[in-house]
Amino acid sequence: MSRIRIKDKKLQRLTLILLVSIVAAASYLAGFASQVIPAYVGEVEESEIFHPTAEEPPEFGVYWEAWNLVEENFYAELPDAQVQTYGSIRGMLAALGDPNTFFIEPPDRQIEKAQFQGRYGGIGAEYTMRNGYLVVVTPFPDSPASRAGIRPGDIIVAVDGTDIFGLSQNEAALLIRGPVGMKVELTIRREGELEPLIVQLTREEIELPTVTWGLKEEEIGYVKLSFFGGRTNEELRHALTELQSQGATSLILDLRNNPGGLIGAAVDVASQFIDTGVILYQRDAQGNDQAFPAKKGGLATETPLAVLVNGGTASAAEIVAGALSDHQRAVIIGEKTFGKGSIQTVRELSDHSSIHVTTAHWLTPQDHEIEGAGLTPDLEVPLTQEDIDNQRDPQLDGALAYLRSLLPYPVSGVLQPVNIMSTKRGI
Amino acid sequence: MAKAAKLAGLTLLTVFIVATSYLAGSAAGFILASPVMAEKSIAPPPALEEEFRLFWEAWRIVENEFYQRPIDSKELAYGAIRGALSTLEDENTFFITPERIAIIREDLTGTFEGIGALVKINEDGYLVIVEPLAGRPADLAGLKAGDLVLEVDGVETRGMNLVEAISLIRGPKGTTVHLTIRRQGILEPFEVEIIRQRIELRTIEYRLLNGEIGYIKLNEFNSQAPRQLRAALIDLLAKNPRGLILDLRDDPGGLVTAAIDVGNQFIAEGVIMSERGKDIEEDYEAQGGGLATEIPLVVLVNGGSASASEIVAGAIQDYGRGILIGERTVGKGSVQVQHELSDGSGLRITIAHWFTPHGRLIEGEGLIPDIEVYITDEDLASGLDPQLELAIDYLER
Repeated sequence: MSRIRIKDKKLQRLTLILLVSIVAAASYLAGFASQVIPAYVGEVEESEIFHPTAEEPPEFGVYWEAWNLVEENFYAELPDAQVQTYGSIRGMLAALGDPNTFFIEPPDRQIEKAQFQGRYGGIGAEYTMRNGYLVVVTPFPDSPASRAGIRPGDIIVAVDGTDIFGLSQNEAALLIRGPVGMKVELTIRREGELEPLIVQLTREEIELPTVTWGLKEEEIGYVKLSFFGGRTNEELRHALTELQSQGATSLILDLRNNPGGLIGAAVDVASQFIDTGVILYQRDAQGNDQAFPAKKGGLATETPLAVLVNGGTASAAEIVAGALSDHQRAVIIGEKTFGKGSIQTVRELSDHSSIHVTTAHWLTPQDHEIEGAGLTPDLEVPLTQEDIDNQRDPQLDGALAYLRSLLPYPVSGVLQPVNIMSTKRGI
Repeated sequence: MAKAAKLAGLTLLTVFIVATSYLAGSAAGFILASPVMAEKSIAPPPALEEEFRLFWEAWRIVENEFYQRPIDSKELAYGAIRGALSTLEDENTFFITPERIAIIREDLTGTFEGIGALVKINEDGYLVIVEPLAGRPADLAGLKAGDLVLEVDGVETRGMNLVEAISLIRGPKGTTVHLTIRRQGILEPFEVEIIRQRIELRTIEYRLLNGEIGYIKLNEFNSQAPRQLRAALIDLLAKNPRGLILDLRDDPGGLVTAAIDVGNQFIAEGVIMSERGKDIEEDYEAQGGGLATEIPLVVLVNGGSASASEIVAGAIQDYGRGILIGERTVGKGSVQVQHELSDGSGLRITIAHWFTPHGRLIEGEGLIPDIEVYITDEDLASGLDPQLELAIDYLER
């Protein structure tokens, strides 16, 4: 097989993203996050493109034999070459039998990219798809959408005059997104208004926050990570600094329903709590291990820590929880985690579609495989439907009780005592 | 009419195959015409080369980076074929692995080596025995209709497609197969050991009912069907029956040639079926000389009557040659051609739709019987057959 270098620089640079992938369903940001969120780390690597007209593997002849027969005999119209090519790529990847190896078409790829980068040019609203149109769920505060008076429940029927009926959620979202500073015109139907409203907005950079935080009690800080994106570590460091200045002496790190994200972000996040040693090992197809060590300069390497996990805690989130657990840096509370221990490389192809390929597995610092196994919390606390209905959070309560028990003085109003010693250990 | 030269060969060996294929023989809902061209090109069509670069980018990435080893290039190529065919959005156009080709070939001849039972995959994805053939190994080993085959030689069958499951059960005569069976009313699954034998499917069963009604049940349209039908008709007609019942219930189809031949026995003249495709325009006409073109006729059909069965029943209904009693049929109105590829795998391609003599396209619609009668679970449990009863009444009136 011959390889040639493509001259076009753009083609030469394929984005390589290592990712710990998990598929998360979430709701979506106007114009913006995708339904499928795998988890990742972005790195860019040079790569050559294989030239197709060079020799094909001999096993592939049967493909053309089959397709030529179809062209000759099939009774109905044939799909265009792109559809056929995409279908062939999907079929080839499916033959690998790995659900984490798959193909993403260009529109979805753009959304995926924005998800990883954590920012995009848009109007700043969360939407959902209903009856073929986008319905605004919430305009973000101080966003172009809210300043233009867009309200929850508004139905976006057209973007720049193009009716969006029949488009997918991602396709519609991509029409709304665009370069920062560019105008976009939305045609909106609002209950109670007979005529559609025409609204002009100027796109701004919209950041997708991945960290929310606050003080739970006088000295207990709470940080929730919803995703491991390109800006997560920065947001986390800001949150930790603020919490410490507000007097937090212990921390709860909430990783529940966090589907993962970039491996690099996982290492950075774990490094805020672990000052030295290995965060994870990555094992490739040949069985070689690569260690990812903790980075210096963590802001909370000594602070007592409780980590909340559940069945929606996956991949990059499991890396962090697994490292904190193996280093005995935190108590893990909640439910067994998802068990996504394989790493995907996201490679962008020359037409800006991408494929996710499983390229490695990751292991915790003590060599535990996570794939298919998950992490078992030190303290298993289920969350029942009854708890949800009554707005109770026994997992959070357990973390608070644990951290209070570490405080050097008694705290009034302690809830039920939690017996930490009776819990399971190990993964 | 046909773009003749090309099509003459094309329709010589036209075959139906089954949707609910059977362990024993087969059936289902499509029609296969044999390929005409001998030469097969393995060169990419020039129009696709440019776009297909993307495929090779993806291939290369997989080859270099995929975690599991080794990577089987042949499987990747098969996957690519499946993916490409899926873009045609036609469930009857599909790729066939070399192992499955063998099963399909056996099905069309009506003979194979196995245990002698009809099976299907039920709605829950289990392999279920539809009927053990009387006196054959499955029957002798005590298998019953409704038994679920959970495992074959220790391999779980749930989730397999029918052909995969069948290929596990079939094997050289004299060898043993172990089945793990779950039967209603018995708590624990149990093992059954069966020695495979040569199985010949009964393509046709016939008898005289009440001394005056000829009854013929056609199980499938394989290559033996035309000859066996002729023999049955000659035998029955010699007894001067008042009428005939042709039972096509649960007959999933078979060869197109068999369908035309069977139709020809009952229809004196006119078109039996027409095919229309991209380059295909072919009318199949009755040839005359049919053995039963006048005698009062009832055709029994149900939701298991497909393709070839529908061709015969549709023609009989359109010409008013007889009446249809039973339930709405499957609705399989397309014709496929099956090609063998150079590495022994195969490809089935939809080449045309077929139409009844009055121009009906039954795809997705099926045939609606002139008299609709259903068989209830209670009927089944008490061995009643109201469809057959009604057919007899109708002919005796």
